[in-house]
Amino acid sequence: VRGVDRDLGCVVIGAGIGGLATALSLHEIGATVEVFESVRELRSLGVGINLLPHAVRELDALGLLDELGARSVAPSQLVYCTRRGQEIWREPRGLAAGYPWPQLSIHRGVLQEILLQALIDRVGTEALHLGQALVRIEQVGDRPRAVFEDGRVDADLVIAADGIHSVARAQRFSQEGPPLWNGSLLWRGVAEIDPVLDGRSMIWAGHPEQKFVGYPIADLPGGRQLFNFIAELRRPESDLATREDWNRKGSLEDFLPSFEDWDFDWLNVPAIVRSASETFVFPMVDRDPLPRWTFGATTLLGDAAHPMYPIGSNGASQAILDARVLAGCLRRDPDSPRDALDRYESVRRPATAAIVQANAASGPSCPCCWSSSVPRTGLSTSPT
Amino acid sequence: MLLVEQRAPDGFVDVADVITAEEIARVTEDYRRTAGFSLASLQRGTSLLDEPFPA
Repeated sequence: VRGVDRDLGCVVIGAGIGGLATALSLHEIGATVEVFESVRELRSLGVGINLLPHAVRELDALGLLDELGARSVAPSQLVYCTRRGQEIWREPRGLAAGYPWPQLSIHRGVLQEILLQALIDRVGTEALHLGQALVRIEQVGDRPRAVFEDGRVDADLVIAADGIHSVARAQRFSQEGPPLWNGSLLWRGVAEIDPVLDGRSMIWAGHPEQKFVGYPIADLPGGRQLFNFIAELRRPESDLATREDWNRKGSLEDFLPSFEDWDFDWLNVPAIVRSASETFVFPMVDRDPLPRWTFGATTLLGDAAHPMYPIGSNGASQAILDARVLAGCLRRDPDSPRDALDRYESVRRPATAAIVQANAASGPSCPCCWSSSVPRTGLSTSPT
Repeated sequence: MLLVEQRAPDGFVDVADVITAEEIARVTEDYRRTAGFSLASLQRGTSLLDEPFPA
């Protein structure tokens, strides 16, 4: 399989996990790539996320596993328990489960920083354009043109990885409206604590109406750890569900009282929550799967294509898989890049739609629920 | 997990009285397969970059 011609000019919209993984993968196959990001400064937003073994395999292929491994924690097990702390089930994860690659728990900002540094090292700073907010994508002759608030760029391919509030998606599906909310709110934070259990355990406690998920994301000097947590409550009447954003501050009084008695002998939920310097609140939102991602030489990727509930460690992992399949299809079909985009979509759209639906169903196919379905509604505030 | 809460809202002495290991294993394996990371699927070391997806 030969690489693509360097004359294949690719524009990636968005410098999140999916956009950066795409840019690195396109560079790996020989394409010319530039990344356009709306924010003027990339800051370490977000809290902890998980990378599943198949995504770690791809990051290993990109030569990033050593650095990722040094700045993350590889969970050995997932422990499910009730709201009273009674264990229901535990299963090995990653290497402990026999996978050739680990699962990695990592701060989203650290992952983004590693990907960004790799892009700068391999492609150069000139490949990254900050402060470029996409307005629309036009077709000029047979080539797409990305139009920004203060500029434009023509390309052979445009890959829109601009997140759940994707401008490119809204342009194509203008009737879609705001993300769908299932009535649950998530408060996320990072606390510095002593290790829980073996210091390599993910914990899921409670049930879909009230749940606490926690896992370490970094080892600290002296044996302490950074521990990422998500406290989830059903609050369909709440006015906190306005917009999904990585940087929206939460208040302890909005959720901690509901967890005050979650002090098990092996896990003290209120103490962990109080140890966090700040919390962020998110509505549990997704969007329905789309009938189409690709329009000529333009396609969607990551959360722009398939935003899903943050259940099962899939958000970042699936975006990375998208990036690798996209680049792989282009490498196998270098003379017909538009056909390659169609092939990418044919592989990834049904695969990710199944996960979106499994997570949204909150039913037997969803690992944290195992029962019942919760209706979703559109948020009151439209994407801006 | 909701299933366990519904079957045993006041807790349990033995979890096997509430849900069987086979039930849980089936659910978790189904999800791994849906999300594309079943153990069997990753035994081949091939990166997706080299995967021969059909046209």
